[in-house]
Order: sequence, then structure tokens, then C-alpha cells
Amino acid sequence: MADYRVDALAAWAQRAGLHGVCVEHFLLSRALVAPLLAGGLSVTTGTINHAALLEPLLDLGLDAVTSDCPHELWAELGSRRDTSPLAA
Amino acid sequence: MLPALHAHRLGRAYGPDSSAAALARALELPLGGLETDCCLTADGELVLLHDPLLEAGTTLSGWAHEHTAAEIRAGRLRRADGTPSEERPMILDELLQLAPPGVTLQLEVKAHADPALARRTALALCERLSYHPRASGSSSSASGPRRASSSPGVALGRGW
Repeated sequence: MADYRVDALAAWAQRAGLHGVCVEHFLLSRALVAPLLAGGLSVTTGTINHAALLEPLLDLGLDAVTSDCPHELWAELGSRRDTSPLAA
Repeated sequence: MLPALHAHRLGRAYGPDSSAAALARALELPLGGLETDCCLTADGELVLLHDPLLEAGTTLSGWAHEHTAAEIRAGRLRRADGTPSEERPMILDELLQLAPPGVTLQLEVKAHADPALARRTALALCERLSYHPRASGSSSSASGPRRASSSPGVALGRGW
């Protein structure tokens, strides 16, 4: 029987040679993301087009966010954007 | 640190889905990555279409895997409102040439409800990328840093 605990899934992904996972943004939580990151996986999320949807997720440690309009989202993020890798 | 930003469907807000026009506008400002979808054609090419059912996003009809790349390239991409644009569907090789170094490529396999086609598509994708220098970033990241933003390369995914 499969083990669906997040840390078990992260360990399975590592054994399978996966580098990361992409999770829809409405499924994200610290309880899900933290074990995935701790398991050495990259975590990205699906389409987010509004800063209001992204703001609650910013402290989860996501590696990348996909957006239809990344430049507008970037502008909306305002003062927090100077800490983004895009600012380099 | 904020996450890197990837342009979905090469910048869906900037032109027809996964079009050269959308890509050009998306690349006008710094970007962490580019996301798009790959469909296998009848002659083993990879076309960048969100929907393998051609009428969903192009002026063509049928399934992508039933047509050659030339046939699909002869069609036009539809805009978000459904009207035909002047943009042709792109093939993966075009994207590999146009994507700047250091920008991560996030490539999704599209093979609607057909696991065998999905497998063939993924294998074709891996084979194509194995000939491209960008793929070295992906393979080297197996034991490298987990952060996508610090390891530009290729990320593969699956979508149905």
C-alpha cells in the first residue's frame, strides 16, 4: 500500500531521481511544503496572476511561481520584490 | 527570498498561448523561467501547444499526434478570444534557440488520457534535450542545489 505522508512521498521522489514537484497554489500549505523542501525537492506552483494570491505563500520558501503575466505580478509585489532572485 | 517568476505558456497575457510573440514580450524584462507544453507529432517532432486537441488553440482540427509538424506549423494559433492570429505553433527547437541562457525551461508533456503517448512524448523530449547544451544544467542538478532559481536548466512535468 502506498504511503501518502508528505515526508514519505519526498523520500520516494528522491529515490526515484526527481528534482522537484509542482503543486497547484490552492493546495499549498506549510505542512505540505516544508517536508518537501526538507526532503531536498524543489517546489514550484501553478498559475498565479494576482499578488493577493501570492502574498500568503511568500514565506513558504517556494522556488518558482508560474504566471500568465509575470511582469505585472512582479510590479504588484512592490517593496518585497527587491529580495527576489529576479532583482539580481 | 521571493520565488523566481516563470512565464506561463510563454507569457499567455502577452500573445497567443506559447507563441513567439508572447515569448518576445515576456523576455523584454528579466524572467526566471519559461513554462510551456509539448505535444508529440506524427513525425516525432515536439510542438508547443497547451491542448493536443488542435481545435482548442489553433485553426486546425484533430489531434497533434495525428499530424506532422509541417501540417501543424501551417496552422495559426488562436488568440484568447478565439480569433485566429498570425502566429504559427512553435516547435521545441525554436524555443531552445530563443530562450536566453540562465532562464529555466519548465516543459510539460501533453497527451490527453493516453499514457503510452505520454511516455513516447517524454522520451522524445528527453532525447531532444540530450542533444542540447541546456540539458547539462538539468542533469547536473541531480546532486546540485534544489532551488530552481539557482540551477537554470530544464524541468519536465506531465499534464493531461
